[in-house]
Amino acid sequence: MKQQAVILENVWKKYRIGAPKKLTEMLAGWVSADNRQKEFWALQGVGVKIQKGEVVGIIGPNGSGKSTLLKILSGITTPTKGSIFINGKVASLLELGAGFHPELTGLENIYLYGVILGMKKKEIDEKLPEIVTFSGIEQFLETPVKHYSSGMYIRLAFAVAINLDFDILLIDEIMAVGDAEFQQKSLKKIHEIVNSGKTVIIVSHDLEKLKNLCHKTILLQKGKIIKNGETKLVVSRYLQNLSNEN
Amino acid sequence: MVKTGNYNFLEDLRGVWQHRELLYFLTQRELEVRYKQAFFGIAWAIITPLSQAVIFALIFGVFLKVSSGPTPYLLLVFSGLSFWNFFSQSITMATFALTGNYNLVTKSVFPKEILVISTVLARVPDLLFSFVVLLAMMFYYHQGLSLAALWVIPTFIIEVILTLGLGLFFAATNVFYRDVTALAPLLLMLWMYLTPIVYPLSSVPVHFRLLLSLNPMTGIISAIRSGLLMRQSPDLLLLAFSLVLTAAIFIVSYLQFKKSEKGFADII
Repeated sequence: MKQQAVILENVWKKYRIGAPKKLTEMLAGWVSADNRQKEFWALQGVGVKIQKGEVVGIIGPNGSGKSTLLKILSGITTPTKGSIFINGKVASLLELGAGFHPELTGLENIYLYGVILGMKKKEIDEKLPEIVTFSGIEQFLETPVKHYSSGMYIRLAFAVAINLDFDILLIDEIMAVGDAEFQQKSLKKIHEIVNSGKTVIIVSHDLEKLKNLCHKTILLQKGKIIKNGETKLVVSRYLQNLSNEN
Repeated sequence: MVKTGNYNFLEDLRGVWQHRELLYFLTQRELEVRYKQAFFGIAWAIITPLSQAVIFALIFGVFLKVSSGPTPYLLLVFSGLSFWNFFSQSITMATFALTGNYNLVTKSVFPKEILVISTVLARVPDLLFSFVVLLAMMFYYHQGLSLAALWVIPTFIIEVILTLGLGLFFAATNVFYRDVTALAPLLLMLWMYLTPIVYPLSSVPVHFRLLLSLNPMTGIISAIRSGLLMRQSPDLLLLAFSLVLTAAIFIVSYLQFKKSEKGFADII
């Protein structure tokens, strides 16, 4: 039997909408029932098993819980109910450049962002040439990143994140980063990772790319898994659902 | 393996130790950013307490003639202010350690107390600079140092732990209620006058002295002054009381912080 990389069992995630922040709102909430804060279940009993080395896509309309699922897998937030098991080190390309500081130089930010993502300084030292080459911003390493263009910024962040040591990679619509040349480069890198036998989980609206990359795909809708299986079948079910609605 | 449920105090401390490199880089970031575009740079660490001390010396030392005993009033107030400012500025900054790092709180995975600890650590160089100025002033006033000055070290460690405890508490509470943003500076200002900073503890009437001792900063500031300026061991009972209170505040705040940490990313 293959080893499991990720097991989610009956995972629920609740968000509160319009939580009372002010004393006056809180008092109003005690007085009348309809002023109480509303609850929203972003995930409703999601169960997933992903084996080591699998490449899994997640699709679904906006607000179906895709991002919440990735956030739970990455450990940024915890489920309200249910259990999660994650076997291995997770790297996520969810929010590139969170932790960059505008006043610091590109080089300083490589180190800062690297340790935020869980690297050791020694690891960063070793991977620095690779990171710098991949980002393609050698000339601007000593420039504060506040002077970077948004493309340069994202390229640097991507270069740091993709060079992490990880067992499981989470990707959120990452193929649309930078110019055409960089997009090619990053797609190539992702293919490399896929072929190296690492576990990859990708959220995307680009169904064609998913068909090329993913062994399996999960279709989410309103916080529930509608279909889980071979990518081609799940994608056609998704498209069918969309045309039915229109 | 991701765990849900129980938390463990020692486990949490170990988590901080495992992230010590992150702590180092965040502290460095804080320091670099603070002084990178400031013309006077680190000199602000001296300008702030010195200008405050001069004004207090003028009002209380000259106008109102508060007795500072054998110690020159300027030394009394500058020593108090240097260590008070570390406490008060650290806590003020710690209040924003989570809300001001929105991106890191909502998009990264690491023990979030690292953000609070780094803001406090980033204040230590400021204190060191003003401490050097304090020593220079003591030299100017022909005040020697004795071995009792070593009391500053354990006392300062107690102060750091107290600062961390309150910093964690304010930072976490501010995530849920922004009232803390307004409350913290007010509280710290009132607190300063209830701590022997601009006056010596000896000038406080005896029955009020007991009340003032309930404030953990009283024992800390008094111990620093007696070690440095009076060249004698501090009132150990008073310092021990500060230590006990500090430990209690730290543990309760840290537990409260870790308990609410899960909600930070969702609520902030």
